[in-house]
Amino acid sequence: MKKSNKIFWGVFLIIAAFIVICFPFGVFDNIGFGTLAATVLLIPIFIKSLTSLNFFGIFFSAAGLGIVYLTPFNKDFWWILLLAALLLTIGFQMLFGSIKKKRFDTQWQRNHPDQFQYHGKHSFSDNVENINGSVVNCEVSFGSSVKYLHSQSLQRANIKSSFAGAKVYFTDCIVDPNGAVIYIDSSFAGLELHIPSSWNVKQDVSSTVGAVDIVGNFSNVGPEVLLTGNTGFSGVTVFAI
Amino acid sequence: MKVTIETDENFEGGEVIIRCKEITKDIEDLYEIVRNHKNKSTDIAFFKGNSRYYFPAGRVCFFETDADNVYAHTSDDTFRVTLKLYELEECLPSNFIRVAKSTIVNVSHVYSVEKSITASSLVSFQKTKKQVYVSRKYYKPFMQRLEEHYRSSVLKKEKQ
Repeated sequence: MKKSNKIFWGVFLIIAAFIVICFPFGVFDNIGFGTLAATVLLIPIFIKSLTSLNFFGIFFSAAGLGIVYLTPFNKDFWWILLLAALLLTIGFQMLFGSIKKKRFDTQWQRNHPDQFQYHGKHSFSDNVENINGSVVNCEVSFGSSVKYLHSQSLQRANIKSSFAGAKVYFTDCIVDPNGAVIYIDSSFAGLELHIPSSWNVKQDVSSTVGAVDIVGNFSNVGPEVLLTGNTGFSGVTVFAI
Repeated sequence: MKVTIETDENFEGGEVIIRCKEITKDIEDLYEIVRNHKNKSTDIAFFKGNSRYYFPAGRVCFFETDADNVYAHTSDDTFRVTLKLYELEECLPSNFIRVAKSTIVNVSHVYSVEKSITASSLVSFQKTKKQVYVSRKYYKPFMQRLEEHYRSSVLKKEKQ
């Protein structure tokens, strides 16, 4: 089980156990079943998002809790909370999005010290699209775009997509013998990755209100290509071509 | 055949109109000559790694560029090209047309065009999963060129 899922289910079960224990004592008599169920679901999402700095999960789950508990007092409050969550998400993503990626880089190097060296010079705040070389950056926002990446020794690809429809092709890339990482950061976007089926792709993407679908089969041999990152309100489709 | 040239100071660009009773082989040949009136050379150098490849430019589905290089995409491969995009535009035949700031497409390889009113339209190619976007600015001339190409290829097949 992925670490992020363990956090979610762990917190979920702990809260559920707490409710089960307190229920016979009438602690939750004034709280409806729907409210309780929403609380049990949203708190784990909030905590899981906090650990991975997924701003969508943080603010929208907090907004959800606010809606559940405050709407009985003011029925029009729900849209205010959702709008605030959206604005906070965009703002925090713009300000602190690169911090999240650096955290991952440090974690990845700690877990894979014998693999490649990532110099960490590239961040999403660089408004430069470097789609050639061993470390490639690709950013698409507010529009539709097709990007073809070119690399003779791909070690890392950083793909960021926000409020956009993006298709990224890896057909002209050769994976570094030590393996590679494809890091995606997708928010309110549709992202398609076209990856050669001969690659050994492993998927470990954390999604909030979204999904990562794999179409086709990848090989089980060869250098490992780890597909990882965070998505929020996005659909990511990975095609094995 | 009568040939007339009309000049108009207020007219921008150039236009060639061929008036005829019906489309004959001579008219078709004339049309091809006018369409390809610039000296179009398809001798383009294609590179991959340390190798140079020799094949007609007609095999290329589209050219696209990143900040540093220009790449030629065939249905199953990708090659580097030393020319810039504007240089390619000048030397490629008329079935190649620019569709975006960084893309030139070969209309003879186009399979479908998915139109979007609000954003760029998506072009798919024959026998490959590769796609490109046509920006709104280039959409109309692209579609005109595509339809011209389709009409002339249909006419050629009918003649055969």
